[in-house]
Amino acid sequence: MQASSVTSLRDDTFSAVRLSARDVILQRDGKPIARLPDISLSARQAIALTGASGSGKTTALLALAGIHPPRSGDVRIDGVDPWTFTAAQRDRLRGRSIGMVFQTFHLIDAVSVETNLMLAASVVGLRPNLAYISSVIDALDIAAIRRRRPDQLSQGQAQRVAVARALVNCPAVVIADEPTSALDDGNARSLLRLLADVVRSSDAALLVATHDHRVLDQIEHHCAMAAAP
Amino acid sequence: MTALPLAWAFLRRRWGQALPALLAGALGIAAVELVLIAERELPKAAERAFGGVDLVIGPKGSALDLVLCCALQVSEPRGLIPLEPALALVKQPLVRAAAPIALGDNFRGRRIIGTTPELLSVYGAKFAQGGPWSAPLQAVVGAEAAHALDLELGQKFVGAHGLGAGGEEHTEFPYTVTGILAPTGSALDRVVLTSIESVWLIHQHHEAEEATTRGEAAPADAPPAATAILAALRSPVALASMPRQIDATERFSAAVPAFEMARLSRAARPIISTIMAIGLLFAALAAATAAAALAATVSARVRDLALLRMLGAHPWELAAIAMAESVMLALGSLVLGLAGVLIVAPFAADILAERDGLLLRVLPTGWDLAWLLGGALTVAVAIAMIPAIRAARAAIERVLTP
Repeated sequence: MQASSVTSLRDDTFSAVRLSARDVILQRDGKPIARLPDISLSARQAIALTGASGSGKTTALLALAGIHPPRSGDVRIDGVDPWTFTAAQRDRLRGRSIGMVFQTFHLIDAVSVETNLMLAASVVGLRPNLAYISSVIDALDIAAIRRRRPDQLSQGQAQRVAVARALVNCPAVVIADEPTSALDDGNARSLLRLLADVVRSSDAALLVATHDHRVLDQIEHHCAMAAAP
Repeated sequence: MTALPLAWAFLRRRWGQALPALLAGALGIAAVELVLIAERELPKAAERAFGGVDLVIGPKGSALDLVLCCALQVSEPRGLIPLEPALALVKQPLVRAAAPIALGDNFRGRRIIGTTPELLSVYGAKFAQGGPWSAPLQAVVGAEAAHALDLELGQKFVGAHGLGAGGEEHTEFPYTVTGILAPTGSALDRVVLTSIESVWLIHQHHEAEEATTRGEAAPADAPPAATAILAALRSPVALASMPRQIDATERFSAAVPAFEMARLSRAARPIISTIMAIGLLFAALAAATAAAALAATVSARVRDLALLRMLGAHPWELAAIAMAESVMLALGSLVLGLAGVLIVAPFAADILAERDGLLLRVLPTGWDLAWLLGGALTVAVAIAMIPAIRAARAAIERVLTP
């Protein structure tokens, strides 16, 4: 069932390019470390970024999200190069247009799950869409824990909350770093289904860095990190 | 979500780190406020305490002692003066009113002062109830003393020997209350007044009893004596001439309460300055502790703020959150510190009233609150700049990458 959901991402009837990367060389401490394959993701498309541990997948995601600058190359979110912006402008662009799911979740411990979700909207000046947030909460089966703080959650619960937070603003691009690493098969399926639904319904694009075969099996397009030239 | 609830959530999450900053801030604010109150109110209280007394005439000795004993009613008398020649000194046009006082007895620790009705004129006192004595062993009670001793018109009480509570009671000579004075804010509020003849009568009887106990003859009638003469003058010019004339006599010395309090105030200036400096040191320590407590949480704060940046928050919003947290701590310290002052200051005021006769008004003024609020907010904003700037400049990837 979830396979059909994700497969539907291959329906390229909507052609606006949400995310593109061309000739991007990644760096760490000023030294080139890897080359990101060229990517052009339209609305409702998904791609899996693969590579061994330490191959630069996370660095690539940070470069695409306007967090860590690439050494060279061209990155565009909805046709905009975030690296031509000031840091504050990049932060705002990321908050509104990119939903990020990190390996280590990065939830704000001081506030509840529900507040974490609403915060994602309010910090970028959006009014939280309570009905939509509730539907995300229900879809990810985290309604029972909405009043808990992140440090009171299991790994799997925290990961689902992190995914929910990434979807709250209906972003143009969802970037996920190993989003199913802490989930059992059932929850992994639910999460993939939700990602697929959101990406389809909001005309977003999905980029997942993973080596989880449960994810790779559901996404048709894969690209692998390459060594720096 | 606005900065305030988020800052409140961060504070609650790290209350263990916030508590030392809160307490140190409260201590500093309380110290500064107590110093402000003391510096403002002590001179006023002293001035109120000696009321309209411009001049005290007593036996040769320290002028400050005379003022403390006879104008402020706090220390022991140094001796007696013959009444007639002393009264002769104040029978002149420069003196508006003058009255002798004779000390020696108390009622439950409140001094019973033998005097003449002119004393009420010296202090400008009015009756709240009843009127002056018209016969021996009638008493007029000061407003605060009446309240503290629970005395009413017509009530009888028995004085005891000595100026402090616990002396031998003069049970044969009960007093009757004929009047209760309205509050004056002066030392008169805390004492019981009676005719000077009543005091002489009781003491002659007491001395005769003691002589009998020792198997000696009763002492011969001594010329009338008093502890001091309190005088109100018509003109400040008299303050320059009269004390010198009186000091030039063999048996009397004169003290001007205003001069003595000013001298005492000058002498106490280093002490007050030291206390003020300690208060400021506490405040500085509080600020430093608050800064250190915030600095200690910078790592956690920078992570939280960096996460908010990752979510799209503007640096100004980060600064607003950091400042809101810091301002909450400052306001918490202010409230806690002022609450401490409101609890501690009345106790200190009671002790001063009891020991030194100084009636202090210990409520913080609007100016105090404005200064303290301004100071606390300035420190809070300055402290909040550190994490706000660090978070705005932080490389988010360092926080986000494992």
